[in-house]
Amino acid sequence: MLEKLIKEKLLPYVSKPARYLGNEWNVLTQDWDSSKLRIALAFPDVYEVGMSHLGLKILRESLLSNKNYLVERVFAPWVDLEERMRAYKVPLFSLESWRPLKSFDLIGFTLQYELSFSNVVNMLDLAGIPIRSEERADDDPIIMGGGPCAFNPEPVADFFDLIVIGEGEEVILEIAEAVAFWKEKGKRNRKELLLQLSKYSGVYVPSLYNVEYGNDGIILNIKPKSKEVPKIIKKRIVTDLDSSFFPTRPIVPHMEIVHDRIMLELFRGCTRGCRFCQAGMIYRPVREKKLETLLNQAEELVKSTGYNEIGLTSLSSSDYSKIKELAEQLLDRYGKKGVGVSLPSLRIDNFSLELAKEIQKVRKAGLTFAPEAGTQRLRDVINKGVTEEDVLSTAESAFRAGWSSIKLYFMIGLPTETDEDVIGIADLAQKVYEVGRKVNKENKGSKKQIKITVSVSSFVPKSHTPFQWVPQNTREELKRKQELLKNALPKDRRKIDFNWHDVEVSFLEGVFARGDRRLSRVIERAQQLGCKFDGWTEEFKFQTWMQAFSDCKIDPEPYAYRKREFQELLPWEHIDAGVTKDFLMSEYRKAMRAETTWDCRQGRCTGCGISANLGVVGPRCGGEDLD
Amino acid sequence: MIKLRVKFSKKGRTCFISHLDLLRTFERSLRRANIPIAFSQGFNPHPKISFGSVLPVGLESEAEYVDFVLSEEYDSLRFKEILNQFLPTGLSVVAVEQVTPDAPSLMEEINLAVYRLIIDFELPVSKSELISDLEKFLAQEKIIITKKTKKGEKEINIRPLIKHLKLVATEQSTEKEWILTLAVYMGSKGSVRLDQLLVELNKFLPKIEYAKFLRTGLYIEKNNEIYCPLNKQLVKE
Repeated sequence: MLEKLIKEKLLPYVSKPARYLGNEWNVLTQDWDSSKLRIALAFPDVYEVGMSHLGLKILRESLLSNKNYLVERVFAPWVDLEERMRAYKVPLFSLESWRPLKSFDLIGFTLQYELSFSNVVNMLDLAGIPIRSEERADDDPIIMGGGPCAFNPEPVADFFDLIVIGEGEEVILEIAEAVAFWKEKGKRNRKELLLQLSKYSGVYVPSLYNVEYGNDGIILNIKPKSKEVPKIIKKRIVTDLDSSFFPTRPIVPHMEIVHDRIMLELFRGCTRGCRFCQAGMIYRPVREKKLETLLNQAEELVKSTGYNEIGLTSLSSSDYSKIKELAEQLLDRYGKKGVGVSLPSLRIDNFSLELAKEIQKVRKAGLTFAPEAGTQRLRDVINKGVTEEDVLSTAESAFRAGWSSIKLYFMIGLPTETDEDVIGIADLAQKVYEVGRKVNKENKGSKKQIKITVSVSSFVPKSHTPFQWVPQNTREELKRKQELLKNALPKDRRKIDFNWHDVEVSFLEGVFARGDRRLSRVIERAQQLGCKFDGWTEEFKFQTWMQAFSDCKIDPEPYAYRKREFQELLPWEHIDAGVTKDFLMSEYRKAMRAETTWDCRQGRCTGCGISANLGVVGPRCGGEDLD
Repeated sequence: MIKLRVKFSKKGRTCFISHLDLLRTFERSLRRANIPIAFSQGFNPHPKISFGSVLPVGLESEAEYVDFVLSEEYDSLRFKEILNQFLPTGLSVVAVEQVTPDAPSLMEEINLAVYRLIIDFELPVSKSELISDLEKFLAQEKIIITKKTKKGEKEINIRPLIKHLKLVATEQSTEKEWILTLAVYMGSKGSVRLDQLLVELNKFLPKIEYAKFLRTGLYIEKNNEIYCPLNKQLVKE
């Protein structure tokens, strides 16, 4: 029934119908009736974004290791399809079998960014599944969440039956097994199932916790409702990536997606210790795959996908200990076939540039560097271990190697930032431009126009980082700084281009990044008022969001702008990412003194606590033993 | 270098992938199948794949044509067999023929498209009524539609582009569902958008509940004779 409606009444009238076909290469045909558990993996954004996410592919691979499980995908339908679905009363359907999402047993949403929260609610609404966990009946699907935003899941906690903290590929099998058993027994007493799951390591069942607030809105207490429920939820990690699940037959989309290439994950975690970076804290410890594993996986991926590019994806890929060898071997094996290798972003040093030069023999792309801040003082505050000299000498080598356009990423609104730091961004961009001109003059033949793109985002303080206590810059302040920078840059945009982020989007992101449970009403209200796809400029409705806050009588500003005290209970106090609060505090204090911390891969242990906390030791973790 | 001329079908859900997606899908399928496709020279090499027509998104077809230039000799039958193992559901190679490298391009030659049109009427319609409606439609000297161009709107007469439109021979006399065959010219002479043609046709027919086109063939009409793009086989009307 749904099949005919979708084919005849929906898809012929929407943009990019290829998003919704579900019959791409490497999709499995699975039998609905004989499967013991039906699982849908959901990404709350459009297809081309969701399909670019490696985590989803890894989870699918893990679940498919059990032949009794049927696994399908679902993404947020774009607004044009949603409109028609609502008009024809077509519920949200899975991609592969075009069956209602509601007919699945277990649905997992990934929470990659705060601005997708409204889409989670909208998808549940479109599916006809009760939005709040407490409203769901025994035969409704179990709604599960995970991903980086799960490290402060509180704003969406009420929507989820359970949330996975940390890496999901192992625990998801344990959860699936429990749900399958519960289903076999007739899906009775959902609460008991959730209680059982709350005892699994890495599983958080929000409904089993009480949060108490004081008159000033500050949290007094976060307590489990019963003694059996753990007080602290420790994140899960995979200890050995070589033997863990990795998809070697990933689904190959028909249409162009954001990351339209093989994604080869080299390692997890990052030890650079940039103080603004949540990923750098929550994905610790560093765990590398062996070179041999990577070469085998690459071989299978090239064969099974037909892609012409291998992206080396990790937090800072050139930190992989055998990166040069890996790149050389991949180029050697696949270059002839027209398959190239790419690095998502470059560290600012000559080693990385040499690597890029080698890689680009096959395919030429632009170069991107991220100095993050405009002055040395501020780069020290955020612990971005890069000097101006690094930037200029790497840029010079790049221009000499034939690149003519370089993109520079910066942030404004960082803690302790002054106007001098903001203007420093313009100065640095100008200096990089001058280096390019100088190289051009030396090579008299070169007619290439040097172009620098300055891309500036606004800093959003995130949970589990040394900056989790700091006030976010106000919208007015950020706008003023953007203006200041705009005026400090040369007028000619053909030479130095400038783009920046919408301050209202960053504000909302900031509210949710450190928000608490009271915000779930606001998200629900905003969805009712029509908010969705908040990460998409054309769909973002700031005034509607403000309406939702005011309807719920909640002032969003303190969430973003308030300075937190060290002794204050934070909304994510019960979520343990492995890095200790003492370490975060010490890093915060060092930041205020503009003191840097070394990378533990190149020296002593910095004492972040991850190794003691998760029982991983030695070289796996990064540094040597604790002092 | 050899050139293979391939007839393929695009059916089911896969009809919703765009022309650009189709090109990408073939490129990836060829790489999976380890078939040595030739690449253009230059800074940004692209695979030598050229289609006979651009099939509109959402339209199924039993007969599309595409030329592949390969860098090495490759047996036609083997090509069909191997590539079919690596194409996603809905795409399927029907036949393959090696042509000379200098063979005129499919795009230049193909000038006639044939469709099956399935119509569900709201109420049962008699055969005689339908035949007379179609006659009236075709008896028009001009069928003017507005075409959007870069410069604005332009009126064109699509009647000369319609070669024929007739009922598929059937025993039935009164029915809700009827099947028609439509042949229209395409290419240098101009082209007809099927949705626009249907709007014009609707003016002469009883109320339609649902109508669906399926492309069943692409042909070359030359000197009053009709050929198949593959094997240059003569086709009887």
